[in-house]
Amino acid sequence: MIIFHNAKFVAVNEQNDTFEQLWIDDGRIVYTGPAKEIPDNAEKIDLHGAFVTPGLIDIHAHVGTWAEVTEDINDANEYSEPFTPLMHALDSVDIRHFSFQHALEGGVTTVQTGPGSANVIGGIWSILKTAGPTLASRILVERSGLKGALGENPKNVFGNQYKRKPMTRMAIAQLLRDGFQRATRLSEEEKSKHVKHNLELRPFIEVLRGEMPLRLHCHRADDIMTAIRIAKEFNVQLHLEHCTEGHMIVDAVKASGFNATVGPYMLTPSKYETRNSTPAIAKIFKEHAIPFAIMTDHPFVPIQYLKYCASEAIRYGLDEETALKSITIHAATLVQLDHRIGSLEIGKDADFVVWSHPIFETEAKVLQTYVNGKKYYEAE
Amino acid sequence: MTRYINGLVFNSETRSFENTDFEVHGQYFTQLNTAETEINLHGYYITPGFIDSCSQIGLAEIGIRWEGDDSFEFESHLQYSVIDGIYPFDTAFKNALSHGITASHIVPSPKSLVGAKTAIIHHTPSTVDEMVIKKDFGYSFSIGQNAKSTFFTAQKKPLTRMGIAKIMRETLQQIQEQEPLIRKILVRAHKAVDMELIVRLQQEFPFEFHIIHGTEIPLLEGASFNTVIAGPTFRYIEHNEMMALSPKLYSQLAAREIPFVFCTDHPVSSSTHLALEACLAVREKLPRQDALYALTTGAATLLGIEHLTGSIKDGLLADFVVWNKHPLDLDAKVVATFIKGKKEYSWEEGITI
Repeated sequence: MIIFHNAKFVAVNEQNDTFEQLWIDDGRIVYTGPAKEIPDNAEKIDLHGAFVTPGLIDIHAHVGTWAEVTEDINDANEYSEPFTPLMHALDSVDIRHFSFQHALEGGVTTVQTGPGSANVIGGIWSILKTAGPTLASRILVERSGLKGALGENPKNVFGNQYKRKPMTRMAIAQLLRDGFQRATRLSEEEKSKHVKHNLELRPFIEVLRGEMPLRLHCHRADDIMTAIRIAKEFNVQLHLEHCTEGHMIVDAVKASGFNATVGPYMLTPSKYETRNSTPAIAKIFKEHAIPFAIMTDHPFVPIQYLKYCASEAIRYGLDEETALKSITIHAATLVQLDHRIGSLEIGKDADFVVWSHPIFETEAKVLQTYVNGKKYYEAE
Repeated sequence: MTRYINGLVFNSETRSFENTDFEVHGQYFTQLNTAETEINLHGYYITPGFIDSCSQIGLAEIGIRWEGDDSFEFESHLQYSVIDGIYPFDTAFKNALSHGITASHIVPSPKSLVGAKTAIIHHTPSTVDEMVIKKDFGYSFSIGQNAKSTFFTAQKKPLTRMGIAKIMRETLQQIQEQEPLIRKILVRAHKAVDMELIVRLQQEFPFEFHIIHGTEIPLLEGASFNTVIAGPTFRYIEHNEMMALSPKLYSQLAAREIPFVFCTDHPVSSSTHLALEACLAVREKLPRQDALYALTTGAATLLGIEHLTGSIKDGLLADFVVWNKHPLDLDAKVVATFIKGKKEYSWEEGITI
C-alpha cells in the first residue's frame, strides 16, 4: 500500500471532488478522501503541497509509430496501397521510441495510436499506456478501431503523387464502401473465417458487429458528411477524427449522434482542408452537447503539449472543467475505458500526474508522472 | 486624440505593470493633454504590440501549399528581398492580430542556405510598402541539416559543413562589397558545431551576427553571442539536430546572460503561439516581466526599431494591445489590438475599447 498525501488531488469525477489522500495498492486506487489514519505497513509519500490530476489521455496520436527524426523508418503509413485493413498498430509501435518519454514528461499516461491518414483504409489502432516494461504490459485495447481517411491526404498521396486511384473524393468513398459491401455479402461461416484467420475483411466485420468503431479522418465539412453518410448506410459506429470544420455544420454533427476527437488546432493550417481550423470548436461542441476529446495528433503537436491544447480551448471560451475532462475522463469515455482510467476514483488504475501549480496555470510543470501506481517520470 | 485611462500599462523601463494613463494622437503616443475622448481601461492589462522576431508570415501563406509559398528559392542571389514575396492578405495576419502581434521580422525558409534580405513589417494588411517598418534589415542564412538536406534532395552536390562554410564566407564577402548598408547577419542554426562556425565568422567579418533557433547553445561553454532569436520550442522535432529542443533553452540563455528574444518562425509554429512560447519560458522559471520585455521592447531593440515602436512611450507609434488578464496567463485573451493608433482587431463587435 502506498499513500500519497499533502497535495490537492483533483478527482475529475461527476462531483468535481478534491481530496487529501490517495491510497494505491497493486497499481489500483483503493481510497480517495479526507486524511485518515495510515496503516503501519503502508508507505507514505509527501507531495509537498503539489497539485494532482488523473493521467492525461490522448486518444488520437501516433506515438511510437511515426518516425519523427529518421523519416526512412516511418511505420505509420503503409503507402503501397490505399486499402490496407490488415495493418495493425501493435506491429509498428516501438515502445522505446522517445515519444513515450515525452508523453510522460507532459503527464500523458494513455494514448490511442496507430496508422496515419495517407490511406483510405489505414489499419487498426490500439490503446496503450505510455509506460511499462513490454508492449504487452502496456496494452489497454488491442483493437480499438478501424482507421480510415477522407479528403486531401489520400488524394494527395495516391492521386497526386502516384497518379492512381483515388484521385477524387468519389473514389475515396467508393473504396471505403467496398470493404463494408464485401463484408456484408459474406455468409456467417465466411465471416467467422475472416475473423479467425485475420483475413482482409476482418476489421469490417468487427466494425459491422459493433466490436470496434470506424475512425475516420475528416477535416472538411463535405468529408465529415461523407463519413456520417457511409456510417449510417452500414449502420456502424463512427468516431469523427479531427472534425475540423465541425463547427460550421454543428447541427449536422450533433444530429449524427457520433462523437469527435478535435484537433490538432494548435498547428498552423498547412493545407487547404485545415484552413478553418480553430480552437473555438471545443467550446462550440460543448454548447451543442457533442461529446468530444482534445488530441495532439502527435507528432504534429508534440504529445508533451496535450495540456496546452486544452488551455488554448479555454482561451477560446471553453470552461476549465470541460477542458480538463476533454483530456482525461471524457477521452476515456469516448474509448469506453472510463471504468479504468480518466479520473482518480476507487477501483481505477493509479495513473496520475503531480503538478507544481494548478494544471492550467502558466507556471504549472509536471513534477512526477505515475502509471499503474509506479513513478515513471520525475522532473530534474 | 484619445486618452486611455486607468489601465495597467507595461512599463518597459521598470518591466512592470503600472497604473498609468496614456494618450494617442494620430499615429503616436503623446502627452499633449489635448485628448477629446477618454477610454477607461480599468481592469485591463496593456502591453506594447508583440513583435515576432522571426516569422515567414505573408511569405508562406497558410492553408495552401506551393501556390502561396514564396519563402524559398533554390538558386541564391544576393538581391533577393522578402519584400517582393509578402502577400498582405494572408489570413495569418488576422490571426496574429487577434493574439497581440503587431509586427514581424520576416525571414526566408530554413531551406535556404543563402536566404534573402529580411524586413520588419507591421500587420496592417494593405500594400507591403505601407506595411514596412524597416526593409533590408539583415541578410539571412541557414546552416546545418536544413541547408544540407535541401542540396541532397536536389542532388545538387554533396554539401558538407565545410562546403556550407565556404559558401557563407564567399557570400559574406559579396555582401560586404555590394550591400554596404547591411550590417546584420541572421543565421538559422540548431547544433553547437554550427554555432562554432558563427563564433569564427564573428572574428573574421565586421558584421553583427545573430543566431536564430540556437537549440544547442547551452552546450557551448564560454562563447558570447549577440541577441539570439531563440526557439520556437512549441513545435515537433523535425530532424536529428533538434533532439535537444526544449523550452528550458530560455532560462539557460538567461543564466548565461546571453540576451534573447522570442519567435514562432510562423508557420513552423503559428504566430498565434508567440505568447505561448513566452509562457513555456515562464514555466521554466524565466520571470514574467523579462519575457514580456523580450516580446516587445527587447525585440524592437534587436531589430533596430526601438525609436519607432516596442514601448508605450511618447513619440513612438501607438502599437499596443489590451488584454483581459496578464498576457502570460495561458487563457489570456486579446481584447483589442492597435497599430499606429488605429484599432485593427477587437474581440467583440461594438466593444468600446
